[in-house]
Amino acid sequence: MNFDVQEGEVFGFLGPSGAGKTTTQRLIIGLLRNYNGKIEVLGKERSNWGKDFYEQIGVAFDFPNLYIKLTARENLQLIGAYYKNKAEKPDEMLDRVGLLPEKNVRVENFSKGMKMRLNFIRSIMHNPRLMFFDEPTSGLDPVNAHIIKEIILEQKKAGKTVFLTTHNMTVAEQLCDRVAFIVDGKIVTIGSPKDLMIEHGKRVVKVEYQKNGTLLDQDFELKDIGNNSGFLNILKTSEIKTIHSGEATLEDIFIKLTGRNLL
Amino acid sequence: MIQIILFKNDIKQIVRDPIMALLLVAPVLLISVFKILEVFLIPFLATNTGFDITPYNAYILSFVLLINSGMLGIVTGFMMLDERDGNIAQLLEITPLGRSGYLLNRLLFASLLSIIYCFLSFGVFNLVDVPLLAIIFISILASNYTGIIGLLIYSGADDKVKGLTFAKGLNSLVLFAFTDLFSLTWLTILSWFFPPYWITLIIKSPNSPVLYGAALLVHIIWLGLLIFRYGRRES
Amino acid sequence: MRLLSATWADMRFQLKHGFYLVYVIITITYLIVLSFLPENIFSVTLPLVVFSDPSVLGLFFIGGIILLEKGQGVLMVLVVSPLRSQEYILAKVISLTIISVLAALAITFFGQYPTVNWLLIIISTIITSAIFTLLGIIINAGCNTVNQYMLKTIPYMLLFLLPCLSLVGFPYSWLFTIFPSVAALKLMLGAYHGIYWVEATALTAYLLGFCYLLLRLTVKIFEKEIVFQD
Repeated sequence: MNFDVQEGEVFGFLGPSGAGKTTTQRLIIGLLRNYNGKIEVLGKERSNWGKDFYEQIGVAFDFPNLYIKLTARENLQLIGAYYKNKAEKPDEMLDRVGLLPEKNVRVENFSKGMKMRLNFIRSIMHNPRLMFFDEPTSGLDPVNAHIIKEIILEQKKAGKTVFLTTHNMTVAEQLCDRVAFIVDGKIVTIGSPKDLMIEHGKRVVKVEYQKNGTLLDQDFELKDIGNNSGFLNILKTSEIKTIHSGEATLEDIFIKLTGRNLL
Repeated sequence: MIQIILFKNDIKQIVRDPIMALLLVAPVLLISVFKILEVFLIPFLATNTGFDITPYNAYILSFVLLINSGMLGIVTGFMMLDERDGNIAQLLEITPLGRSGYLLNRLLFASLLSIIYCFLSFGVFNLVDVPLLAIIFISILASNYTGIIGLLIYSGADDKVKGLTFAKGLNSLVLFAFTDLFSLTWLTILSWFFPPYWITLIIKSPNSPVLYGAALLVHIIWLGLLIFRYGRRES
Repeated sequence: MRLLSATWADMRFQLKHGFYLVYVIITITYLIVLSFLPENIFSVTLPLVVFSDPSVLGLFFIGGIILLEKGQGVLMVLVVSPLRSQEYILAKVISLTIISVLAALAITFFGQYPTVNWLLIIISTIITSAIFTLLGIIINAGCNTVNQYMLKTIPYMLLFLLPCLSLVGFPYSWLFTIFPSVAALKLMLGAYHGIYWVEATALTAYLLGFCYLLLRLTVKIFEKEIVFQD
């Protein structure tokens, strides 16, 4: 497996369960020590980094890791105390993910989504340069998932690097500059979501229209479509219901590449 | 029927997990340690300090019984706490077995063991002359005590560490097996409310129907209250 | 300072889980029982109570604490934070030792033991508590349930506590002092019954050396079994 992630990039790591995503992430984070090959992180070989490495990275696992007997605020304070970089405005961050009213509530009384949000801000409060998120939006309702996605994009704007592991193709499509598909420990495809979607799609446009009371549909080649008389004729004479270009979704690509359904 | 299937599963789980299987052996180990102490330490004390332990035999036996039953209760309590952490308890509670079935199953298993170890203890320590009927009755009380300790841990603690804190505190309950020694009125009256006191008393005077009744009453009230509490608790 | 923060966090955790409360209750229980004992038994029993309960409480609790942190996933977060394994372990040792020392002092003080070397009580309690807490962390590696942990402690307890019987005295029984538990118990008894300062110093030095080696070993095992999953 060979890949690199640029500074300031959101990099998505996609693949079925058991493909090696977590193992790769663990290698980079440094939880697995004995490896062959080279892993260079933040300008230094991983095995040469000491514990200081962790000052510069933030990790949110797919499972909320919190002290359930402590309140939201106490959790942030406690873990935050181990970092040199102190969280500037913990309340502001709590507010951002909608947890400010519950800041003095014990985490054991939180819903799964609330725990996920707290876990997420916990991972970024020490202002790390490199972040690892594992399924950051799982268990969140659309509004809260949107907030998390917004924060990730803000981090990217601030020049931070994000390494994202997910099954959620919509999230990958919305956030990632580049994605890599992993199957059985190998990268089968790597590239920007847009490029991949076009590459794996059909160069056609599908038109759905109504004629004489019946619903019909027809595919047209994208090439030279402006001069395609059949296409233009339908546009002029029929009632158009939908028009779709035939690029693949990341979900299609995933199924095609892995031969498996999404889990 | 479901009870039997689950019971079989329990035994499977225990046999497959060598640690659990060993844990069943732990009481045997404990009994052995006490036996070794009895064989070596008592003569040693007698020759070196002239201390005669015979008057305290009933207390020692009671102590061994209570420690064993208590330990089985603690193990069951932690087993149930672990199952709650692993959401297995939740799963079993929504099967036809139900909440009460789950509880019954868990406690029954430990209580049965408690009875077996009770007989074993009486066999190994022939310190006191107790008629068979009394041994049977005491073994029932001991199994009851196992249930009480298991339930106290399970319903009192909401995580493993709290469970440990509880177990630590519950160990002090055993002290009530000895309060009879001091013949202080206030202490005796206080002790009436605690099961260990009665087990010692019955070993000391195994032919008193009044004691039997009182002991059973105290045990049943404890167990009943705890089961009632368990039933009312929201899961 | 990270170690201080971690220790403070552990103390708060222990307070919330009722450790302090349960030790107040246990101490009072012991005091009541001790008050009933005749003088000659009391003078032997009190030091043994201090040695067998407050001093080894770390062994009893540490298994559950680490299992809980593992279960809640907090341990993973600490692993990917700048907190060093050694700091994590020391914080556990220090926080639990504080309870040990407080309980030991309370039992001795309120038990009104006549002859006491307070400094030695503190030293021997700290050392004993540290040894047993570290031992607990070593035993804990590879355990998934409290029951597993409690079972695994049995052989270690036997290994540490059976040699203590050597203190009753027989030819060459002093050789058993090589067992840290025996050395610690001698130091503890010395705090109550008197001890030559040369012997106390030698025992303390030996035990401190043992503690240091045990700490190094604990860090190594902790990193191998819990931090890194390779």
